[in-house]
Amino acid sequence: MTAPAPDTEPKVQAARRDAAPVLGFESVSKYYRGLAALDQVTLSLSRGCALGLVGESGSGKSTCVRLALGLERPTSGRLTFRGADYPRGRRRLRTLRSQVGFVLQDPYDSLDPRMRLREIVSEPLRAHRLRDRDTDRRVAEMLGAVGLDDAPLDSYPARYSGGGRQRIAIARALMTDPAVLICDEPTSSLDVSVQAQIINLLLGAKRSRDLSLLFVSHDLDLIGRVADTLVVMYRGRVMESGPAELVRATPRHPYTKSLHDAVPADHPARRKLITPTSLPAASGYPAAGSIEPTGPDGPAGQDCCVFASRCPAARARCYAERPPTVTEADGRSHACFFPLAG
Amino acid sequence: MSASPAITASPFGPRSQAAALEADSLRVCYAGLPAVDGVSLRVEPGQVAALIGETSSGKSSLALGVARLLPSSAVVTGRVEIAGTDLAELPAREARRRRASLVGYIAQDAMAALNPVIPVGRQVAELFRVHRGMRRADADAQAVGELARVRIDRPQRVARAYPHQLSGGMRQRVMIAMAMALSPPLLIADEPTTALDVSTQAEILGLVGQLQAETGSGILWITHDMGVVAELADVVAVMYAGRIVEQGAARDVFDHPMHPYTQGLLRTRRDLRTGRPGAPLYQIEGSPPALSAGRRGCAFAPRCARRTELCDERAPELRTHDQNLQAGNGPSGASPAQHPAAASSPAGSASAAGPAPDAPPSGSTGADLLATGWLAACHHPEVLS
Repeated sequence: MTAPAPDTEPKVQAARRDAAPVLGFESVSKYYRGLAALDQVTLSLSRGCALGLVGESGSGKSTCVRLALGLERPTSGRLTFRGADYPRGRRRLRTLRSQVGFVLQDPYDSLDPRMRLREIVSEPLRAHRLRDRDTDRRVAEMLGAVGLDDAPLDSYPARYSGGGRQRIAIARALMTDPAVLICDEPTSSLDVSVQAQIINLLLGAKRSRDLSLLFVSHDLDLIGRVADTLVVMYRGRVMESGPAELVRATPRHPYTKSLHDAVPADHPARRKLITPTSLPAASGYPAAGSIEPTGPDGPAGQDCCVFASRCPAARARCYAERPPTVTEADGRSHACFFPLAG
Repeated sequence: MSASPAITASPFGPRSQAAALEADSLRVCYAGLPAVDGVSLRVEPGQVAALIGETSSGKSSLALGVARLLPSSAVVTGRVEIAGTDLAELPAREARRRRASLVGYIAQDAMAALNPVIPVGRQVAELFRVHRGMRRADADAQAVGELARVRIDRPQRVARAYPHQLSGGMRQRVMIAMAMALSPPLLIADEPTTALDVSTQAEILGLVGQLQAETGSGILWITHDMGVVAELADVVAVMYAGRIVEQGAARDVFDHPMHPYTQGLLRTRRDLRTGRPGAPLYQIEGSPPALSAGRRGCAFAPRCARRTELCDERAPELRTHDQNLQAGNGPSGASPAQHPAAASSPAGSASAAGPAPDAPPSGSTGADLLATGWLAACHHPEVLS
């Protein structure tokens, strides 16, 4: 699993082999009670790549995950898997789900405490009617592949630490040999010293199994290490997307920059948050200033930039019109009337 | 200096009349298992001391033990003084009454800490009614003032809101307002920003930094995030398996961590930030140990690259390591000429070959050292830069 398969396999070649994205969102919107949780979101996950979704709570990351898992249907727009529309109907969805694995945030919640490891890890096989006499051997192999070589198949998850449980969840997700692995904040409830182990496990699986990752996180540093492509979301809309290194190094959208600026310093000598000048912004932030922080912004939601009320560079136009998504020559795109200089 | 014992009772800074917090050999046991295993630390007024640690490191038990907020099933021993007062010496009722004015507590989960069926303004006002004997109208007005103090816009309106109507950041501001309402000399913040978005975390850190400057309380800030430490802390104590394994001025610890665990944490963070996308991350092997009684050696040894027999035999004590520092890497400003390459390996191998834990600390950098109290609990400390 951790065998350093050459990650030099050119993405171009992989793309040619399978031209259509493994997973695609085309102008997908999802409304809950008339409020847009996702608003015309377009994403594309290429084979063998990692797409990072970054944003704060309420940005629509989790809605994307639910749609991609086929747990919900979009209000409008199109979801595709390997170029074809997401299937309707239970049976066909089941086939799709065997191709889309998931690892969720809280390993204490996502494993049934009354099930033994054998049952947990082989559950996807059972759900997809793929169990056979070999199942135990395959479970043991998979547990070995995620670094739990000595785990007894009849042990319960309570025996394992957070990192151990997340390994179990990864083993379970990989059992059906999926094409896509959806990771929703897979390390945010783990200890710092364990986080890297789990990320390395995921990166190894991506390489050795030609997996495509949809990686969701609010941690810009972490996601920048995992993802090839970054998609920055805010209140259900895509603010900016593009190659991860470019988006991190030279954000074009003011929101991306503000996320970047909010990451704490790496040394006491380079403190940035505790300066009097950094604070006035807080009063303009809906989260600090109003008691209706979540949900789309006010009545003008459709006709403005949703970030305008927090944006240091906002002008009248930002409150009057929705900025269109502009794609640049280097493959990145942003939805801002006044993008920062690259 | 030469008379100073291996464990300094007051590692944080020079003694003044009354520290915001002075804990001496604090132990917290659950069912005989030590969650906190003999911790001494001192927080000066106006100082932010960060306590960094992972799951089961004992950092939260330490915080709750200091505030005497643990259930009676937890056995707490050792001495804790908050601004010169030992709550354990007072009758329970008196201790409860005094505690609110001595220590403010900011919990991680504000939703759980606030009463869901009472408007937040009322909850702040209750402090003034109970502890200051104010009348309801006065207390309500004072509460609105406290909400304004934590930079909440339109505090009157927010005061009438219930906790569930507020965002996570707002609830945390309310918690901070409550913790600071009675101007306690000590604030304990138990991972108050862990559940928040980065931008909200940045706001809260900025806010606490400002309030800190205004009030001069001592703050014990518990976290697992080195970034938060970098932003806020004057001094930092790294906890592992119930003990402090390294402590000192934040800059020193960031510049030249001595303990392999601290080094691993810092390297993890640096690697996360600067590494190439898709490349494997630097990882510390293994996972933190579970609580156990009667551990003989160093708790970090199973995960440590510098492990020797000695590490398994005897737990290292928290002490100064002048010999390493003298070899080149002093605390910031102690030695103008720093040659990390020349310093770290000979010092490390020397102590690995013949550790001399009882060797009298020597050297002229000692004065600086005592001032910052830079200590590590490791048989083979190695100064990295």
